[in-house]
Amino acid sequence: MTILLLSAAVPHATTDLARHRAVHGALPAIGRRDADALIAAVDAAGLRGRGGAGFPTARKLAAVAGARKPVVVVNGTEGEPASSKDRLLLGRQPHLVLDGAVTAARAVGAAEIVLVAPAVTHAALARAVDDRTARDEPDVRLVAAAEGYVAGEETAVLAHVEGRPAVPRLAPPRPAERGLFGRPTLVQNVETLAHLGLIARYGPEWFRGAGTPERPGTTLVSVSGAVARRGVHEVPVGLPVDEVLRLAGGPSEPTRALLVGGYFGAWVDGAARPALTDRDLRPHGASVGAGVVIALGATACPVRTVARLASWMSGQSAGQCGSCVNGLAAIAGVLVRLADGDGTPDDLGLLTRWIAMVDSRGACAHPTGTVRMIASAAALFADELEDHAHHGRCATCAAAPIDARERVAA
Amino acid sequence: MSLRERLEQGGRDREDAGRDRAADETARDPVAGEDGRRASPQLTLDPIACVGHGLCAELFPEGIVLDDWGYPILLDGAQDPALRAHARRAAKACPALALRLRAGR
Repeated sequence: MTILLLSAAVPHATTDLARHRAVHGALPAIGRRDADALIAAVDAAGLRGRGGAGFPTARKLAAVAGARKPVVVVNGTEGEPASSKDRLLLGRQPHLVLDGAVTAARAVGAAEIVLVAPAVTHAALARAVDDRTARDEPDVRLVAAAEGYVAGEETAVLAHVEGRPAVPRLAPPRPAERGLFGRPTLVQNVETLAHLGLIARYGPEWFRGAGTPERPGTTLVSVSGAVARRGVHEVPVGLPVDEVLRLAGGPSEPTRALLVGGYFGAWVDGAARPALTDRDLRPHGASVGAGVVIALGATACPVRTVARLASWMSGQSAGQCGSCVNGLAAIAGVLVRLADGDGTPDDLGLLTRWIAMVDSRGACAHPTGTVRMIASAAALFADELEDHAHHGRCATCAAAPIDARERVAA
Repeated sequence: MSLRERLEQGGRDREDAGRDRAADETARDPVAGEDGRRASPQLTLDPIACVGHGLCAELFPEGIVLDDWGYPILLDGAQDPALRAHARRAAKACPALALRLRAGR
């Protein structure tokens, strides 16, 4: 198994800079003139954002490079409840993340870095930041991340750092054009930057040594649900999903389905077992997203599970857009009714009507991401939904579903 | 119709709408794009600013319908140059200033 971020040589937390350098070597000096070459190297590596959207990192860098007074924001908010990889990385490899942030800052010409991370990680992060005394490194400011699903959306992160409620705004303008306090801003996920810190050292060919030609590199996956051991694993992109489950000790019961990508992801039939790469997941309407894999066991009722997910996501709406506030609540209401055995066949019509009605509206991806996840569930669990609509609660309803509020133990 | 059939039908409708929109854009705005020439004005909605007064759908039913909760959905017809005067009237009437006719970008 290729291990890059979670290096086998560094089994424990490496907040100590000397130990970090002993494993990975010093960060190469990057002058102003090297910025273009660095962005070209990231482009050649094919690195994409690991926060969920999968946007090419080089394009994000290029959009901010050379702008007036740019700033780099490291996004460790990780609002996705089933994901814990960013927290793990911040705790175990803070210097790798900081290396990436410094590299990104140099590539775009930024003199400031804002590191947004959960408060529980701050003591260790502050020590790591203090360790780095190189005079030519940009200043790093720590900000405690806001809570909530939408708080990790990049414009919500910027609003939070500016001292306003952590809710998304309408984009464009993108943060690259008008970001933190109006300045051109590069917002990058924690894991993305850790990869960047390694690409700066070892180059694009090394990065392409893992993964697929289309989606190179490794990725951190948070595996939870009906598996023997929940946890975070580093895998090459394109690893068959069976192998991913095996790393988690294998399924704890027969797998009915997998929620892949996160709560914005898609449900994939448990018998399908695609490889964990966008090309294989696309036919299922899924993508690797934030690297989340949740196994739904055969003893859980899919209708109840989806009803709880929908209710939770409805409650996580920023409350700004009518289609999101009303649409998600209406959809969750129908699903809860069906799950409770109080639904009717007409509810299935309402469900499909409202899924289509909410799709592609709203200022941010929350309503669309949520209804697409629900649409994938409605397609995969059509028989179970019909059964609930016509006959009420099913035999498996008594079993415990995925707890929508749970976090994967790292 | 079973749920599966309904979903499949819904998916086809969405795909068709997407295709139509893409086709319309090329047909209508042959100069739009990266060559710097101005595209035709677009009717845009800020869904955060919108509080669902609903005047727009009254004034411009060819381009705007309300969802089941009273919030506007822009139809393809909203960008029809032949209906620009109606679009402008709807934008001017929006009490929340959420609906705007903007120069194409």
